[in-house]
Amino acid sequence: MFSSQPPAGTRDFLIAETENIDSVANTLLEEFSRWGYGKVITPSIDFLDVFLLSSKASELFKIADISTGEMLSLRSDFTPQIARLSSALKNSVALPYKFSYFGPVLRNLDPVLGRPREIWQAGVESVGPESPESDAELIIMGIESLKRLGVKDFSVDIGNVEFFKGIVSEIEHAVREKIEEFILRKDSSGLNVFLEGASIPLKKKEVISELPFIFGEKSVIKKAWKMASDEKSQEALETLERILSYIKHYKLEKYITIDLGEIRGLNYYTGTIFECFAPHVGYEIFGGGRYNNLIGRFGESCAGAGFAVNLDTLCRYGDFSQNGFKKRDFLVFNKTADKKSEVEIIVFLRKKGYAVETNFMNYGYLDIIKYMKENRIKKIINIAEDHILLSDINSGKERKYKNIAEFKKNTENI
Amino acid sequence: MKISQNKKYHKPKKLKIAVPKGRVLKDALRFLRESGYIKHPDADYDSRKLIFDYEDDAVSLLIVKPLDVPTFVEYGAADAGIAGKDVLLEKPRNIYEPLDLGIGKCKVVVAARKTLIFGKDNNLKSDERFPKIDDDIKNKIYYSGVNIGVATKYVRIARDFFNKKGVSNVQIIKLYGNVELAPISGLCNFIVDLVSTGETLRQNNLIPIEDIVHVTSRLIVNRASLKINSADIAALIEDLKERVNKNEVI
Repeated sequence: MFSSQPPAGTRDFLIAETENIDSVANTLLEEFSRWGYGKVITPSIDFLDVFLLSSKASELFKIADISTGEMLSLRSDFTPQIARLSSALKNSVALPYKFSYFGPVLRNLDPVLGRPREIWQAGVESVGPESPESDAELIIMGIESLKRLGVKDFSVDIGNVEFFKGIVSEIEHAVREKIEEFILRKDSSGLNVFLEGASIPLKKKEVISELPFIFGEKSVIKKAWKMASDEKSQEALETLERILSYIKHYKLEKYITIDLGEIRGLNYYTGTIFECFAPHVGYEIFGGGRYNNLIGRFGESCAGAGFAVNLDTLCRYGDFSQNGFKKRDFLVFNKTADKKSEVEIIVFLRKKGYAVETNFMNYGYLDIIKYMKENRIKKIINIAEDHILLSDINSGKERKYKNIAEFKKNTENI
Repeated sequence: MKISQNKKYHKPKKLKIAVPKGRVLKDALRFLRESGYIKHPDADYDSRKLIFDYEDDAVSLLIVKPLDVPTFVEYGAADAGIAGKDVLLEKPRNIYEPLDLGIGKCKVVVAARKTLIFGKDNNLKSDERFPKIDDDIKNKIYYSGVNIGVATKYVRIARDFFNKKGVSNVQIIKLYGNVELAPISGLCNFIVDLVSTGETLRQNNLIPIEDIVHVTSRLIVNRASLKINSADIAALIEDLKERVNKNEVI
């Protein structure tokens, strides 16, 4: 016998969950379109090298192209694909490009970790602009999207990887990599032990050991200015301040927290990074940032930034489907041999826009009522030899019709 | 739209801290008590109940299995936790680990059956101290080319260790407890396990070959929690750090 479960880290979504995800995705894409973003579709497979731009080789589902022998991979991230397609457009279409997308990404994580290996995402990429205000707009759009979904308690954490890069710019590569590891986990104890033995100027050591703890409210920027002695990190702080001031014009500053010690994706991002968190949802709801070096990998260099919403994480937060579980309207129950009337009623109601189904399992009346309750079908049309009986299984209200003609005539208040 | 969400998160809410059952529990509780986060004696946190939320405590506690602490914290079921470095290495998690608490000191070691190293007619008595294992012996037993069976609960740590050493033919056997039993019963020749005094190894005729990693307990923090409750988390880190520093002075 086959297992009734899909591979570890993947799952089936049943009807209610699927409706929830679809509904969230539709709302997001619709919101994105109001900011000028249009949806694109990229292939589910692409060249391995494309995904290696943002994912680790060990985390890709790799495939060999049997015709050419080239290595391909299932999509692990939309952004490099959109960078590729943007690069192809550059000669013929004027910037900026504003793309949105929706679909699954696959990451071959160790199943032992219990994290999903297939993640449904909806997101945007903005290609061309590189001002702090364009970063701010992405963050604002993320906030507005969640507000539109009715999410109330969340915050967006903003950082800038250039701040860290500036501070450690004069430190030798191998030492810097070690420092990165500690900062990424905010492992302050480990960092301090390491710094003790490292040959770095004392003043710099003090600044670096502060890095895990420059998070919190806007006031941490003051602290950060004192740490920034080089141009790069100062520029990062200026960018951050301009972003905050733009967000303030939208009156959304209450959603913002700052973490200048956040350095995820250090080799990938080239400026602002941000992530959205909500209480009791351990993972980020959306995350993204600026990647000005990505598109250049496919040709001419070009600025870019974007973010992706993790729909499973967001959906764990609540039920967003428009009317809860979609209700279905009618079931036609027919134990007679008169299939012609059955079909006539079904066709008639469907034309009117109702959802109608029939009883092919050959259930008895009680079983069919049970099925209807489980699937939230409201009304049953019982075709008998000499009449048609319409009943609402919840209210118990019934109406009897002599024949189809009478049924059709009296459908206004059905 | 019907959204179930906690509307009151901006109000000060108690942080939830996952604390490991077993070896480190006593030290962890002492630590939290001396930092002013909990008020009650140990006995009050020791019952079949696994969540302790006393009104006069500044935090609520979840008492869970050591290996589960990072899981609770990563998923946000607890805001912070106390976890051994061994556990963090075995299951790398997307969490912060801002503070080494210096409690629960021990190490993860590779150990082998005594007879494997010294042959059957060894003249070591079982109560003799562990002999020094030099590189020659290590090389002989690691690189002999025969299949090396290693029983452990630390599959990942063991795998990474032998990978780094370039030892081939390693077969890792995942066990959930009483790992020392594996060599005695002939399941395999090696184990990778947590050792604090070495007494268990000695009693089971096992000899430690080398240390893989020194372990202490860390304060770990959920990423979302740090961002959302930044002031509370920063205070927690600061208070516990003060307590750690005091420890070092004494």
